[in-house]
Amino acid sequence: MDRNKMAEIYDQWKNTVYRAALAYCKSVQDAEDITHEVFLTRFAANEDFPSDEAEKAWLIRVAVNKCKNLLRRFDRSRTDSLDAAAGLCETQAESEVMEAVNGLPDKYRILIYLYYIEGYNIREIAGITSQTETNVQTKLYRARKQLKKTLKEDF
Amino acid sequence: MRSDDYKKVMGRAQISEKCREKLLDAAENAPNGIVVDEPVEIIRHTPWYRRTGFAAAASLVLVAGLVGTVGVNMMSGRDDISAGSDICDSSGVESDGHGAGYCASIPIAPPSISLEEIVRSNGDGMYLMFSDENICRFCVDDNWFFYDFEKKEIVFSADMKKTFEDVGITGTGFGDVEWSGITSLTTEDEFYPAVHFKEYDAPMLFKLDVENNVLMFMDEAESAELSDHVQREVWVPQPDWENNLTRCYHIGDNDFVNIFIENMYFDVKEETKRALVLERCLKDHAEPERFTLCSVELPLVRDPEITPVDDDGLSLPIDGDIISNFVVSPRFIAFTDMTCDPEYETDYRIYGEWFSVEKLVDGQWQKFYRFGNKDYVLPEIGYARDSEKGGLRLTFDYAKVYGELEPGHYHIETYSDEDKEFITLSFDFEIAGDAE
Repeated sequence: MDRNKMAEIYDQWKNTVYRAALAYCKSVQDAEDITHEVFLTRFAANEDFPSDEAEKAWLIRVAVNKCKNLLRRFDRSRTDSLDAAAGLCETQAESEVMEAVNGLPDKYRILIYLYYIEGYNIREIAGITSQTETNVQTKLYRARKQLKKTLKEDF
Repeated sequence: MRSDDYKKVMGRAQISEKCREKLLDAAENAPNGIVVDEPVEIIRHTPWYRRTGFAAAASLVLVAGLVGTVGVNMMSGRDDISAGSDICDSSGVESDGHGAGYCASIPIAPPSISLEEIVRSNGDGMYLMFSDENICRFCVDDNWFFYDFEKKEIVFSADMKKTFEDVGITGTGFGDVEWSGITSLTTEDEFYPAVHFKEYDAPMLFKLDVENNVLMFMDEAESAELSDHVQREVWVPQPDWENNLTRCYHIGDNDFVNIFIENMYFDVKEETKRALVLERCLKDHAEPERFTLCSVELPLVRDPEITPVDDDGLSLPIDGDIISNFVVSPRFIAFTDMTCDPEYETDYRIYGEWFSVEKLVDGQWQKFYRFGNKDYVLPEIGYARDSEKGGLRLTFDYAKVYGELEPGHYHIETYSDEDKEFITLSFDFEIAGDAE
């Protein structure tokens, strides 16, 4: 794959991958590293996807799995803070929401991200995260419930 | 909605520009990148259980069978049972040259289920049957296996290529049986082919005798050794009764850390565009075999025969978070008025929540043991949308596991599968003498 093609792919999906990684890892540095790895994988695959959506889903799935591996290896969840999102928040309300979301377990947080930010439905999320639909539903329900409890308001 | 704030914040997140050139330079200079495997379903020309002889196959298959399905049934503790060696034959089997072989996703039939009962797998055909001869039989594809209770071994019989019809099976399939809890023993990077069935008074463990290719009971010392390892709940996906597609077990919270496919544990080593590259976890730390599997999507279960609640059942209001009401009869229990998120697209679901039933005896809540001392639970309960009320209804035919409840006070509790903590959903109910 030539550099221009790689750049095109990267520019199209960089923030999608980065945000997914950021949502999962809560760390800018980790998210950048994950994004780097995901695109290296993508370039090495060097295959055409049937659609942009298919490529996007694949990239996110790879990102999620790399995040899982990263967190599993280093147990980052115990040491990371919420700083990643802090610079992005402009209001107190946003900070509260991000703190609540970042307080969710990893496995819930990524589902919230995929559902609300990427707009995937349950079935699609199940495919991306390699879970059953029922598990996604259950976890999403529990994540919302936890957010509602924290925020005292529906998420 | 606070999710709008979340969307705003995440929408601002953008990766640093410096990462772009760094990535492109790295990609350009990468020697060959990773290897992307072809998206074949399973790269095996011969089913693995036939590859190194049927005995190994039988053992491995049945290790998994036990892990997933068979063990509880076989472990009925009946010392008087003897399969008899005359029915066992150790000759090999012919390979059909292709195919994944069998499917591991077979629900457990409680030992108390009629001996004529059968648990039928889907698709590739692994079958169990408990005959009135007190012989535990299995069919993997067209090959029959037997559990010799006397020798405590699983043996293969090439002569007994019987079909369902041949053995007079009138079994019913998945709908009639339910899972029981299983705990497997795994460590981070290896799988011990052992099973711990906590339903039994004395937990029992099996092991795979690799040299002799038989599945054996473990002695106490071995059990103790294995008990030191990490225990994880095995998440059992629901079989798809419609499409006959279930091949994968997830461990823990469904991460692809270890996956259990077709009776074997694997580690995911790479994930490519269309395939997962896996390594089989081996007990002896030998070089793992390498397989490439398609990503497995576990389909939603649809139980075609969910049974309506008996209209004569008792109805009690319950103060609960999720479930606000349930209806119970001597045979069925149904949770109604459940929280239903209209954003969910599916109209039917199975959460796989686990419930246990306790009975009030002499002022004490005791586990309700309908059959001997088997600590069954009510697993894999289905939630069906109640179109009239717009909520969800859960119906469970516990009579199939417990038998019809006798009059008395009962108590149901469940626990969260998250963090394995008991949660507070707990309901008391009474089966009145005149409820029937």
